[in-house]
Amino acid sequence: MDRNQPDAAEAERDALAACIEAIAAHQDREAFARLFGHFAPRLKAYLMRTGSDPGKAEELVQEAMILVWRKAATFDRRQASAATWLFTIARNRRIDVIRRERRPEVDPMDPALVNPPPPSAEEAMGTGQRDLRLRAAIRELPVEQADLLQQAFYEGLSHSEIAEVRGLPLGTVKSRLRLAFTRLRKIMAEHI
Amino acid sequence: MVQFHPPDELLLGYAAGSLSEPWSVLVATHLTLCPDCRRATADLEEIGGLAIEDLAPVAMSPTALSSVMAAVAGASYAEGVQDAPPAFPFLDLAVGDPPLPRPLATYLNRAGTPHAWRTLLPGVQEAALPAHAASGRPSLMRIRPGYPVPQHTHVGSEAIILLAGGFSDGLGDYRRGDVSFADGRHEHRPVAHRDAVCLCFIVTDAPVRFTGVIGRLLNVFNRS
Ligand SMILES: [Zn+2]
Repeated sequence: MDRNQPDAAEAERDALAACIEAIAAHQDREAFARLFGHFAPRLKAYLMRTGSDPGKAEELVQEAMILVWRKAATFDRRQASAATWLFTIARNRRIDVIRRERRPEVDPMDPALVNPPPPSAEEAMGTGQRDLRLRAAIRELPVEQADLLQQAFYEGLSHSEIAEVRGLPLGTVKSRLRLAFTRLRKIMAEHI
Repeated sequence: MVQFHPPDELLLGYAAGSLSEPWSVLVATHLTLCPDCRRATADLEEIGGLAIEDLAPVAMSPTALSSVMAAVAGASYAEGVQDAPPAFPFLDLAVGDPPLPRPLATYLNRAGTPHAWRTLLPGVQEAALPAHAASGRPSLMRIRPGYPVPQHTHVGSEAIILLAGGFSDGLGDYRRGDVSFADGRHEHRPVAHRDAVCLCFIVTDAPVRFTGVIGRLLNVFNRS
């Protein structure tokens, strides 16, 4: 995907989201094959980065893709991009299987759920593009902040693990990530 | 509305998947009660999506797609309706109390609920939960109206999320959904509000040491 062409990136993103919707609507095998072709090798790369050997990564991706088929109806492109939705499924599978823990998630049907005040018109319009804005915002981060942020996600490392791998004091890792986070939040808030 | 939020590092760890289960339960419980942090976390998860897009693909085995297709063929796609989590009689929640957020209720159900409350101090009871995770000691604590929450000094980190009632700690008034986080730098001495029993879920990373005279006695008893 050419990052210098936001229109192309947006079209690609919409096409992948449409694949998930087609699976939900009529169990579309062609759409699934396309989604698989795009994401399975990337999810495998992610799982290998987080420490799985190739065989285990392959197995986890297959299980994650089965979940993608089953859970397609819960995908909502206004909430997340296809890439993000698949990331969360692979991440949760990794936690369940590798760490033998259960991933606690917010349940949208939870009677205890506190809902946000209804969004204004501008807000409702903006949600579909949050991921594109966020991508732009991350590109504007100073290199040392963006690096750590990506390491946290690529490798699923905790702050202290990043500090160890990078040979940085824990305080430095924490403050850089905090700066990155604050800045991203500020940029996202400005774009509402 | 919730006023006190978990620190960014917890939201980031939750989104990236690096927190242990008890810490994740605490964050997911807060997210259930705090739409602002839900959105911040969704933004952080987008970073995970970007990471997936940017990674150099690693080829899957040639038969991978057909095995996945075979696995989903003919299966039923209806997601099972989730049963309502069981009630927890030992919690002794009053009728009309707000329900336990589901991430916590599910965890309590799975972790195995403690059989009884243990009195720590007058007015303060604790129920330690079985910890399955490598890091994070989970427990529930309830404090009678007007009683002080034990003063802690922290070797590691400690987070408290309020589920019912309220307390004040000199920084502010904490209500349902609020999170008080300490990472060893400060002592805090919250006192439960006078109007209701205060119920909290607590996660600590290292054994908590109590300060003060009574605290020293407790440390003796806790030395096991
Ligand atoms: Zn919050």
